[in-house]
This record gives sequence, C-alpha cells and structure tokens, in this order.
Amino acid sequence: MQLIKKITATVIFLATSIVSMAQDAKPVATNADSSLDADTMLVVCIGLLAIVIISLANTLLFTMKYYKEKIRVEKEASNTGLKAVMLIALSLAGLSAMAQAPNLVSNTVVTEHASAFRMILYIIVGLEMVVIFLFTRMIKFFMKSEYPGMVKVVVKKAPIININFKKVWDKVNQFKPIEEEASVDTGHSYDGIHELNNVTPPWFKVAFLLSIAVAIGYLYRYHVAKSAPLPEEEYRIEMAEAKEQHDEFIKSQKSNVDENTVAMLDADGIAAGAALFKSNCVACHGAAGQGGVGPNLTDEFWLHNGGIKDVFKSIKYGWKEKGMQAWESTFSPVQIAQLASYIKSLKGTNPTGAKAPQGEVYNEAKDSSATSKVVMDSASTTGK
Amino acid sequence: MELQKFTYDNRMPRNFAIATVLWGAVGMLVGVLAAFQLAFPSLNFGLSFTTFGRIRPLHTNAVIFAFVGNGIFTAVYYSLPRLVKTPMWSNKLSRIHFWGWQAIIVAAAVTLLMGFTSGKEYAELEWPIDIAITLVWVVFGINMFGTILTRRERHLYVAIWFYIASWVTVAMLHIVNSFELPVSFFKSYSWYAGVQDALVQWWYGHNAVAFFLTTPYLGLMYYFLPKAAERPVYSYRLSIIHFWSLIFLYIWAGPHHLLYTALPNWAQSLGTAFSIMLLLPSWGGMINGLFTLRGAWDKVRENPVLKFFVVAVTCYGMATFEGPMLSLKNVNAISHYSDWTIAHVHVGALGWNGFLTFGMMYWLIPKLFRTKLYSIKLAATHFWIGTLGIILYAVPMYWAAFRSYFMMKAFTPSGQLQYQFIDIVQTVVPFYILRAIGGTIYLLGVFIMVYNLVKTAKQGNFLAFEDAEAPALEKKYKSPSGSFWHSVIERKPIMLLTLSLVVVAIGGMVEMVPTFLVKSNIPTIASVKPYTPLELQGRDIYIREGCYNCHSQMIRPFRYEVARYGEYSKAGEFVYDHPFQWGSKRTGPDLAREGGKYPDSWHFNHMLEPVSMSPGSIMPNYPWLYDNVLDIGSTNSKIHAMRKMGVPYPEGYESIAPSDLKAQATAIADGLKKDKIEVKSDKEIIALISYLQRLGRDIKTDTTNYSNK
Repeated sequence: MQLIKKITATVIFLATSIVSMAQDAKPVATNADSSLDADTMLVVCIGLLAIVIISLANTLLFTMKYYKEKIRVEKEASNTGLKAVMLIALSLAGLSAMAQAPNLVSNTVVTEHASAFRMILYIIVGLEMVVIFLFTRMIKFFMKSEYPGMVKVVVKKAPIININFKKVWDKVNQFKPIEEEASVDTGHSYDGIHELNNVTPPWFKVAFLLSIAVAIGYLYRYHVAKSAPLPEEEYRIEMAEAKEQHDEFIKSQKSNVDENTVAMLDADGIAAGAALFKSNCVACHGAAGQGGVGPNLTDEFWLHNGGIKDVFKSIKYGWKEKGMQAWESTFSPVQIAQLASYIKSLKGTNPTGAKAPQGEVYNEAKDSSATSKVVMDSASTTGK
Repeated sequence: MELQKFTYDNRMPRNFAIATVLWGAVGMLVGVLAAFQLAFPSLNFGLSFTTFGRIRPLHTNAVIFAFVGNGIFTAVYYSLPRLVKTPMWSNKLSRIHFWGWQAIIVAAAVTLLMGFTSGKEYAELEWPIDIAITLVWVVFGINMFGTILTRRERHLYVAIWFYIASWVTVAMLHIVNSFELPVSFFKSYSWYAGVQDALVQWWYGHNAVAFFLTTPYLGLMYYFLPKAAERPVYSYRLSIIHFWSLIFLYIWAGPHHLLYTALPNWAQSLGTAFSIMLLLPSWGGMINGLFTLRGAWDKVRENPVLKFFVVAVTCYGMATFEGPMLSLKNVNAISHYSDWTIAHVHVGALGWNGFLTFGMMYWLIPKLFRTKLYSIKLAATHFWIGTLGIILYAVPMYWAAFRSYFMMKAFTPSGQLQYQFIDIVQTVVPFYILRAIGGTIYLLGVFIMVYNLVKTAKQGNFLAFEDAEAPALEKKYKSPSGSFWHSVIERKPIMLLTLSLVVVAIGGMVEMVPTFLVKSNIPTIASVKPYTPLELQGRDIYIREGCYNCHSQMIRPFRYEVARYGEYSKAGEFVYDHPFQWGSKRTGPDLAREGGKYPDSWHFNHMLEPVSMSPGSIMPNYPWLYDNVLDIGSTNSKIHAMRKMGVPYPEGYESIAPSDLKAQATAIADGLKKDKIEVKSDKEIIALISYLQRLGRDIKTDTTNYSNK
C-alpha cells in the first residue's frame, strides 16, 4: 500500500514540476536569440534526468526500508540510520537544485554570459549522471543484502495491470501457447536451430496490404489524378502565398522606402545602420569602412555614385559581377536605408589603412537627384 | 548412412572477428574526431589529411566496409560451414579474402587521407581499389558457393538466403556505380553525369545500407540470435515473406534521397511509394527476431548477448520505421540536408550494426576460446554505456535538425530571411558538442569490450579445428509429399542466386533506363557550357578536399532556399558534372549558385581563414592550397576523358587547353593584385576560385524576387 502511495506522490510531484518547467521554458524557446536554444534543451535534459533521479530515489528509499528492517532484526540499526538520513538529504538537495534550474534560466538568458551559463548546465547534467550512477549502485547494494525475495515482491504486484494487455497482445499476434509449440515445428534443424511455422501476425498482413494500397494511392494521386502538387507547382503556390502576404504587409506599412524615396536618416537611424554594418559588412569593407576586399567607403570616390539613393541601390541589388551581393532578401528596406545613412555618415573620417581610391569623385551638389540634405525621422520609417 | 568426419576451421572467423573489433574501434575513433571537428574547427589542424572533408569519408568507409564488412565475414565464416555441415570450400581463398580485404582497407585509409577520391559518397575509393574490391568480392563469392555446393545439408537456412542475396546485390551495386573513366592511376571520372549520376549514386548509396548494413546482418541475426537464446526461430513463413519482399522493394527506394531535387518527378514518386511499402517487410525481420525470444525473456535479463540483440533489433525496427517516414515529401523537406539524417543513420549504425556485432562477439569469442566470458558485469556495463551513447548521440541531432529548419525558413514580416546561415551554424554547434560526447561514450563502451574480449581470449585456449561429422547428401532426393513449394528453392542455391538477382535488378532498371534514354527527363539548356580547363581543375580540387561533405549544390524549389541561395536548380544544369556534387548534408550553405556572389578576394581570404570573412564559421582553413602548384600536366588527359564521355570540347582542344588555363589563371591573379593580394597564378587556390565563381552562372535567371516589384 505504501508503495502505491509513494508512487502517486511522486507522480504528482513530477507532474507539477514538469508543468512549471514547461512554463519556464516557453519564453526561452520563443526567444529569437538562437544561442538560447541549446540551453533549453539542456534544461529539459536536466528535467528528464531529475525525473529519473526521483524515481530512483523512491526505489532507493523503498529498498532501504527493507534493508533497515533486516538490520533491525540483527540489532545494528544505528549505523544505517545515519546512512539513510544522508541519502535522503542528498536526494533532497538534488530535487531542490532541479527546482531552481528553470529559474536560473529565465534570469540568466538575458545576460551575455550564455557560454558560462551553459557550462553550468553541462555541469548539472554531469552531476545528475553521477547521482544516477550512485543511486543505482546503492539500490543494487541494498537489493543484494540477502533479501532475494524482495525483487519478487515488486514483480508480483505488477501483473494486476498487465493481464489484459498480455491477452490482447497474444490475440493480436495469434500467439500459440509455448507449450503447444511442437505442433508448429517444421522439423528443420540447422546446426541445432529449429524453425517454427507460426502464422504471420494478422496485423502484419493487414498493414502490409494497407501500405501497398497507400503507395499505389500515392502514385495515382500525383501522376494519374494529378490532384496533388508536384514540387514545381508547390513552389508556385508557396511563392504566390508569400507575395500575397508581402503585398498586405506593404499596404499595412505607413511609409515604406525604396531607392526613389530614400533620404538620409537621423542619428538613431545611423546608429542602427552602424550596428548592421558591424555584423554584416566589415568582412569586406573593413571595421571603419576603410575597405579591404570591397572598396573604401569613407572617401569621396565612388564606383557607382555616392548619393544616398545610389548607395541604397548598391546595397539592395548589389553589383554581382564585382562581388557585391544583393542584400534585399536579407535586410528590410528600412534597414538598407539605415545602412546607407551610416555609410554616408562615414565620409571624411579618414580611417587608418584606408584603401586607395576607386571610381570617380562624386559631387553631391551636381547630382540633382541627391536629396541627402533632407533628414527623415527614423521613427516614422521604422513603423514602430 | 555413413557419417563423414570433417573439421571446421575456426581461424578464419577468429581473424575476421579481430579485424572487426580493431577496425571498429579505429573507425569510431575517426568518427569522434570528425564530430569534434564540427564543434572545434581548430581540430582540423590546418593539415590537408586531417581536415574534415577527408576525415569524414574515412569514417564512413571504415565503419561500413571495415567494421561491418569484417563483421559480415565473421558471421559467414562461422555460421555458413555449420549451417551446411561442411568446412569452407577453400582455405586458400579464405586467406586471400581475409588479407585482400584488410589490404583494401589500409589502401582505402591511406588514399582517402591523401585526397584520392571519386567524390561519390560511400563509394569514394578510386578505380584501382574498386577493381581490387571486385576481385576480393568474387573470391568471397566463389568460396561461399563452393561451400554451399559441397554441403551436407539439403536445404538452405534463411540466414544463407540473406547471405546469397547480399552477395549478388552488392556485386551488382558496386560494379554499376563504379563505372568510371581513369585519367591517371589515382584519378577517374564517373561515367555518369549530373542527374543520372545522382540516380545511380543513390540507388547505390541507399542499397549499400540495404544490402551491406541490413540484409547480411539479418542473416547474422537469424543464426546468432536463436543460438544465443536457445529458442526456435518464430516463423518460417514470415521469413519467406519478408526475405523476398524486402530484397524486391528495397532496391527501388533510392530516389527518396533525391526528393525535391532535379531528379524527374516520376522517379522521386517511385522512391517514396516503394519506401512506404518497405516498412512491413523490414519489420518482418524485427518481429521474427523479437518473437524468437518468446519464452526466453528471463534469459534476456541476465545474458548480455541477448540484451545487445534485443536493443539491436529494436533499433532496427525504429530506424526502418523512421526511414519510410523520412521518405514522405513533407518530412523529407525538413530532414534532407539536415542533422536528422545523421541521427537516423546512427540509430541504425550504432544500434543495429554495432549492438548486433557486439552481441555476436560476446557469444562467439568464448565459444572459439572454449571458455566463459571474462566478465559478464563489464559486458553489462558496455551495454548500458552503449545505450546511453546512442541516446546522447541521437537526441541532440534531432533537436538541432528541427531548430535549424525553423530558423532556415523564418521570414520577417517584410519578406526578408530572418537568419543568416552563420546564425544557424552557431545555433547547432552546442548540439555538435553533445553529439560528440555521445559518440565518445559509445566508443568508451567499445574499449571496454576490447578489454573484456582480450581477457576472455587469454583465459581460454583457442580451438583452431573443430571436429564434426555428418552423412553425405544422397544423390537422389524425393521431397516428401505436401512439402512447401518454397523448399524447392531452398535446396537449389544457384536458382536462389538467380532469382535474387532478377528480383533486385528490376527496380534499378525501371528507374535507370528511362532516365538515361528518355531525353525529356533531363531537358537540355543551351546556355550551359562545359567547364573551362582551369575550372575543371578547380572542380577536381573541390572534390579532392571533400567539399561535398558539407556543401550541397542543389537548390530545392522552396521559397526560403531560393531567397537564400538563388533560383532553384534545374536538371539541365548538371549535364557536364562528372561526378555530380549535389551533396547530402548542409553543414555549410548550398553552393549551386555561389558564382559571383562574392569577389575573388573574398574567396581568397575565406579559404585561407574562413572566420576572417565569415565570423563564427566552423569551416576548416585550407592553407595548403596557397602553397601547392596546380598540376597543369593532367589537363590534357582530363579534357580528353571528358570528351570521351560526351562533354563537347572541340576536337584537338587538348593542345589549346593549357594556354587557356594559364590565361584565365593570370586574369584572376591580376584581379586579386588590384585588391592588394599577391599570389602566383599557378597555385591551386586560383583554380578553386575559378570553379567557385563559375557555379550556377550558366543559366540567366531572373534572380529578383517579388519583393522589389
């Protein structure tokens, strides 16, 4: 009876802890920061291992009780009592550590020390494994202690739940009772290996025929009835949907920029552009825009004109033959405007190691289409 | 009837067993290195022969052909003589087989690390080794059939059916897939190009899994599992059903590795349909294995051999359930090119092949050395460690696959890709670490086994020749009335061989013949031109360095792939690709339209030190490409070989090719000079850059998408 009580108690505890953990984990999973994902998984790992630890702890307590009883008969209770207390303390410590783990996640994920945090998670996983190992050893130790009957006590209780299942299982497979095996013996003996001729499980035959039907249906659907889209058609549908979504998005935007309407942004816009530049452009254009693989962006020489609209265009569509890739599928128009503004703001900064001039001098005043004097409010363009 | 006396030679199974364990440990160690390299690129050591692109083929070849291969031979050389009650037919052939196979393995290891590769997955070995494999395989076949034909047992047991079908199918696969035109002693070009090469390759690749990793091991299971459990095999008729349906259906499923690619749609659909039908025949083996243990489950609790077998068969069931699921189009869209596939194969490889081999070893070695296993406890430890290793390997890979898939296809509301490829790479690196740890744990288990087996062998004494006796077969045989029709096939091995060949040949022919002969399957594109000599040389460097291990060259028709890589790939673009380089895994981005994406100087810096151009990259450095001088002397024979295979280089172009090559190389070097990069035009890196810049540029496509219209 006590065992059942304990099991229910554990189940309740586990259920609550899983629920609480799931709640804690949710914001982590939806967070866009990609590096957090590994942490989520580690936390789940920790949770799962904790479940194992709890069940082991229960088994351990159970086996210890028997052990203690046996010892009491031998009147040597004092020593093991201490051991038991220690064990309980140990498992409790494990449990409380686990309970804290989800909290840890939600607090630390925001910080930049994700790698240190992950190290801690790795260590917790490691510690949990050690605990599992120790628990199993201890259970073994207690089980072995001249109580061979004990294992059977556990086993005997189980069949109450299993009986029906076993019957169903036997029926589903059309099992012959093992005692009647001789009736299906083929009489073959290959190096002592005998072969029975049991019937193929009926579910197997049904499922096999079914899978053949599904396969024929599959081919029929795609190539005879043509009622399901083949890859190229699927692609067309997907792109049409994307276009629809995109059109709607454009409509919903109050203001949208392209190479005809773009204008220099304010300081916030330039700062946003600087951040984008740092993470995407420095490989070719240098950390300060001094150039490298790509041209110098800080002088007045431009390969494809240097107006804000020209720079916007160069970023958006790229100059493929010269190695500048098109960024329009990576950046939004606003982001491109921010980048263009940042680049324009670099003029005359004279960074060290500047690349030699390329292209022609670009004269802003002469270019009638340039409107870089107009400063747009970056807040209105970002649509926030 | 007079009993004839004879002896089984146990030295062969012993030798093969030693080779299995040894190569297994080596192959897995290399695998662990490869796994750690993906997390810590510095482990590539900046040396050509320790770089991932060469290490990974070494790992796959070692565990498939050295570990599992020797495992198959161990099983055959032990079980076959006993099942047909006669010693192996020829001692000499046995020895040639053993030493031949080991020599091939050593040659494979050396050549793969040196960069001699045909560039086709799991068939990387170059033509002289391919020929050697064929010869040794034939020796094995003669020896096996010699044994079977001189048997003292009228009917062949199901294990032998599997051995025979495996032998003949592997022979067919190997020969057809290895059609290649040598240009020098260690360089050849696949006879097939582009789509056709892809079809043949995955017909081979898929069925190497089927007929090298699966069917011979089913034979192994059918012998060792009932032996260890001391139980009769569950169902003879199930054996018949699943044997024939399995070998017939398996061969068709290859194209499911090419869903959403430029392979003709009808072939893709056939691959999927036959994969669906394959589920139950595969499970037939699992059912027969597990049900054989009926009434022996109490033994499973104590006997480590049976523990290993149970998990192996269960893993087989899981992997063969997952397989058909993965070949459904919508699932494959997620799994293809991702770590999911890696997880899938390792459940099969570590679980099914690994554990079945370990179980066999724990049973066989004590038998051969007439003793008990040194430590059952250690074997049990190995079992638990191995299981933990498999879980720790597979779970992070599944997680990584889903995570990267959702990142790949994420668009911002304004229609831009939300993540750069490098963001995704950095997300999965922690999973690579966990996976590597899982693999290390599994390998640790193998070391424990090695110790245990060595100790076992030491405490026993080897029985080299085992006496046995059996009556000879009578010349005339009359089958008892009412005997099952299939028993006729079971007593006619040549008929069994022929039928197997016919059954496995059908699928491949139906899929390949139309793809080769019907022109509409691969519409030609006029603007697609052959590679220039320099590009061709660059392509060979690309193949040599094993770039295809991490980079695909096949853009699937999905919005997120087109947005990320450019217009989706068309069948006609690959007609001059001998061999095709579509790849099967994207650890790095697709390169099908890499040409013109970045300047030459970007590639120059990137190949030297990828993180300098792409911070956070896990790609290795390739410093030797900047020292090695391109072997221009081979241009002649390469152009010649290509023309022989139908690439339309003009007659006599060989004589002009070297000067064309030099001119193009000089132009690239001059261009780099403008970007302050000084490099001699005769270095290998120049050729590689020229190839990378050519990729995907032949068709002019409207690369602008809807977002700017």
